[in-house]
Amino acid sequence: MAIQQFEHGKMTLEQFEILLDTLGTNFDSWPKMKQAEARNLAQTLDGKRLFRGAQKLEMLMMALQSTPQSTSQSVPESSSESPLVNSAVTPCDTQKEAFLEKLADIPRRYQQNSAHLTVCNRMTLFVTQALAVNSDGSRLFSPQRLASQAAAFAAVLAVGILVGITPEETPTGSGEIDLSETWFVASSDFELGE
Amino acid sequence: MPNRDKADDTILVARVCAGDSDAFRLLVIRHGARFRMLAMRFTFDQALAEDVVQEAFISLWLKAGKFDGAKASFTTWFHRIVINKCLDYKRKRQFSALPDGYDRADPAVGPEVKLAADGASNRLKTVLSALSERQKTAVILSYYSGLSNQEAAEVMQMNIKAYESLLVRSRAKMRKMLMAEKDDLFAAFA
Repeated sequence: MAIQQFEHGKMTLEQFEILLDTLGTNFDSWPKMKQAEARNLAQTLDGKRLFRGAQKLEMLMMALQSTPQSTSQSVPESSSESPLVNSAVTPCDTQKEAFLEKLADIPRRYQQNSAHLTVCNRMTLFVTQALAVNSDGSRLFSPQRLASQAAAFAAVLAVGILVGITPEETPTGSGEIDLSETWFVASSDFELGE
Repeated sequence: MPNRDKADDTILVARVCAGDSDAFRLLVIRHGARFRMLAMRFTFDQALAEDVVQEAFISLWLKAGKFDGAKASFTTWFHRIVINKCLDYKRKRQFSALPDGYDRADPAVGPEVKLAADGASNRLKTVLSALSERQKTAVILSYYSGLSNQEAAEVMQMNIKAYESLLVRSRAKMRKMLMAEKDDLFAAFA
């Protein structure tokens, strides 16, 4: 965003400052045409001061990201695998795993409101699962299948409407057909003579 | 693969909604540590962070029906819950005492690393406290949540441009604060 503003002209110290906050202190990741200018500015007294400030911030953020406390370790995803089975367990890990066990115990300690187990929820579950990707990559109700069904439905509907609005030739001038005239014709065949 | 994970999370929440405790356990194992860390970055207090995340997971168990997979992914939705709870707690409580476990011995970490980490943690706390809640949230989401800027913007219900500009302003403010400090304080990280 800030980059477009400074595409032309010589970079000022203020622009250098904004770009430092936007792009960071690694000039290699800056736009190529700005890299040389930025490096030159970083050599000036004020530029150096700004650069050092930005570097301080990056170092602080990185130091905290890499501390053991902030490192999120991968945990087994299967419910059958307990996270407590790691071989090299530190006190930090134990604390974290104890906390996870406490969380996993929530269903035992808190009763779900039965109102949640409504037909609607069960339907949501069914539909969600039906739309999910199967292990073989196929979908029960893929968008393509749903679209083709919708198209077929629309086509049948359109044909029905067209047939409905087509004027029909009527045997009578009034335009009314008395279907009841032929209702009992066939039954006369079965009449027994007296 | 990430799409598959998101789909799985959505199914798991639907199963939680139907009272499936195994699905809940799986969500806890998958995301519990990550949200604990996020809450710790907000509160700088392990006990409080754990309370916040526990409360969020209780809400998930009791009110999973509120999740709408069509509107947001599970992680985006749950980030919002955890962050809102952190902010609520912060409004209610004053952080005058040092965080729990501040001086607890940690045999896994060397003393000099621990000292540097504690120093950095305190410095970060000071710097972050100078930011507004929105700026602080943007910084924490950007550096510690593992979310992309787009996802972080969704968590904060902002467009990406506004989020990035908020992030730049936050970084500028933090940088100016750090520039005012003495250079030698950072020797530990050099």
